[in-house]
Amino acid sequence: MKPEMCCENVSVRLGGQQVLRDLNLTVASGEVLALVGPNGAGKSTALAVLAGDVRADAGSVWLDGRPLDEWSARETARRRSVLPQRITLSFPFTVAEVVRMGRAPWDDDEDVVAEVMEQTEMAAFAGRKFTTLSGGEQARAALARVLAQRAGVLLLDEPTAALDIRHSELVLRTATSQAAQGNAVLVVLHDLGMAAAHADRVAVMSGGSIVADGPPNEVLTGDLLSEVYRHRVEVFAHPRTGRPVVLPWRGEA
Amino acid sequence: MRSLLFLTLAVLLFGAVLLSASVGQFPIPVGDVFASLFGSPSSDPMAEATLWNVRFPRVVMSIVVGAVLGVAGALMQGVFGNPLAEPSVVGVSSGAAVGACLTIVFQLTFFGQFTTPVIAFVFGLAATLLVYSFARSGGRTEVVTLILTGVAINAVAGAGIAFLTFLGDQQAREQIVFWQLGSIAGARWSYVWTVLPLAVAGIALAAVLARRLDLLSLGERPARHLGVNVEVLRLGSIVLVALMVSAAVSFTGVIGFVGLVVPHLIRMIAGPGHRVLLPASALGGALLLVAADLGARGVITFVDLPIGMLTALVGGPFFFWLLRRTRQQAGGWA
Repeated sequence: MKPEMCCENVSVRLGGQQVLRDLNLTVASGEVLALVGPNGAGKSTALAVLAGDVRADAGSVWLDGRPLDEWSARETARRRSVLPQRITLSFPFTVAEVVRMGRAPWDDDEDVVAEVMEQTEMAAFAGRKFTTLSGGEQARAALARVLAQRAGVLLLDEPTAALDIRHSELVLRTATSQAAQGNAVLVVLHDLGMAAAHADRVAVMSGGSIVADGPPNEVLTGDLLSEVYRHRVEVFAHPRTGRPVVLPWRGEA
Repeated sequence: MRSLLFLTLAVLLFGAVLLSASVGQFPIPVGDVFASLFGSPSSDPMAEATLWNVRFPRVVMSIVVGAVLGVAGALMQGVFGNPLAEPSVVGVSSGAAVGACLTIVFQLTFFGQFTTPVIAFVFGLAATLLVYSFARSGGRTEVVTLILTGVAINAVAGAGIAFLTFLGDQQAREQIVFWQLGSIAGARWSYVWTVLPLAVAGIALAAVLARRLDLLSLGERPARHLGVNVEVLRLGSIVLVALMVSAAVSFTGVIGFVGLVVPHLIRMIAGPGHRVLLPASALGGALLLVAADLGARGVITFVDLPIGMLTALVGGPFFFWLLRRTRQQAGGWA
């Protein structure tokens, strides 16, 4: 079974608010799916439902063709990994120890740990205390932990929020290479330009459901984005790559 | 580094045991203690009797209770994700103490020698569950909420103990008062054999949870994403803390702050990983309590000071320092 995750007709109410309504979303083997949308559209809740953190009031969630509830915690951990938006650590573990925690569902494997540290450019930080790192370094260490889990489905909640240009690109290239290896990658993004440049497929959320889902150049149109974001947005093809470039409309100075 | 830590702790503990057994109203040379311990009884039957009937039960009790308090502290901090969580600070010890006082005042004996530990366990568990459900929100425990919950629970437990002291007769009152100060002076082998199985079981089970406790420090959700059954882990740990604390409290009274000071020092030396922290806290707690008991008897000649008083004297300021430090690091009272 190729790694795959999906949810069907999922609705979630949180604190009296309908956060998700009839959400249908699939992330399949070999693709990077970017989930985008304005603040409060329900992106993180959608990811939390797939991660099993939030229970759906209605609808169903599937992992590798089986309902998520039917997997044990350990089986699930071997098949899907989650990078949370907020990274916390109660005690001052070193970076290497944190990354090694990603091996928990499996046997320890120092080769994997070393490899993912290299991949996220964190090898030099191995002995540093996680709590003394900058926000961006913590984010990369957390990503290394998620990669060490070697799960087929990766759910990444805003992995680039704290990162500079170099490391944002590094993270999304990592996501792309994970997909190229046959994994399924769902990434929640705020930056539409990033989504356009790196995702195989983009799903736009608004008001708790998907309003558009498809290849970036079909989905990311000025009209749709202007409506969803309630701000005029212009989209044009990048002169060299042909990928869509998304910018908020700014009048002449 | 880690084996050096364990070796150092073990050697220091052994030294403290020998010293502690030799010091007292009837001094016995350390060499004789060593000899008696390893199979060649002293020629003086009086020394031999003092060692095996008075000193050794007391020393062994210090080791067992110290180890249990050290591990219970480390375990509680792991579950709460907060270095300030400690059984006496958050009111678990005084909760268990209410249960133990009940058995003293009403002379309950329905479970034989296990009556006091069992009733203490029930009350200790109730206190732990209360702290846990009140002090947490959104999967995290804020320092200020934790401390204030402890204040509230300690206040209610204090009222309960006061009421029981009021109800009790002269003898029960005296027993409660001294017992509340925390003391190992009355240790006997029969007490040791009651606490020991509970302590061994508690520490062994805690060691099984070590790796999962490491993962829990990432937060509840990430721990679950890594395959930890968080609900089972939390409940199991809470029951273990209550079990170990009430076993200790039943026979030695409230000895505070061991579970705060020891795991903190171990973390500073060997890092926060629970696979080292838990066993090292057991050794460190044992060492601290044997040393404190030695101090309790040695500071003033012929006076046996309450050990709980001594640990609080050191632990109180340490707690304050830790509170300030945590506050600075967390950037406010978060």
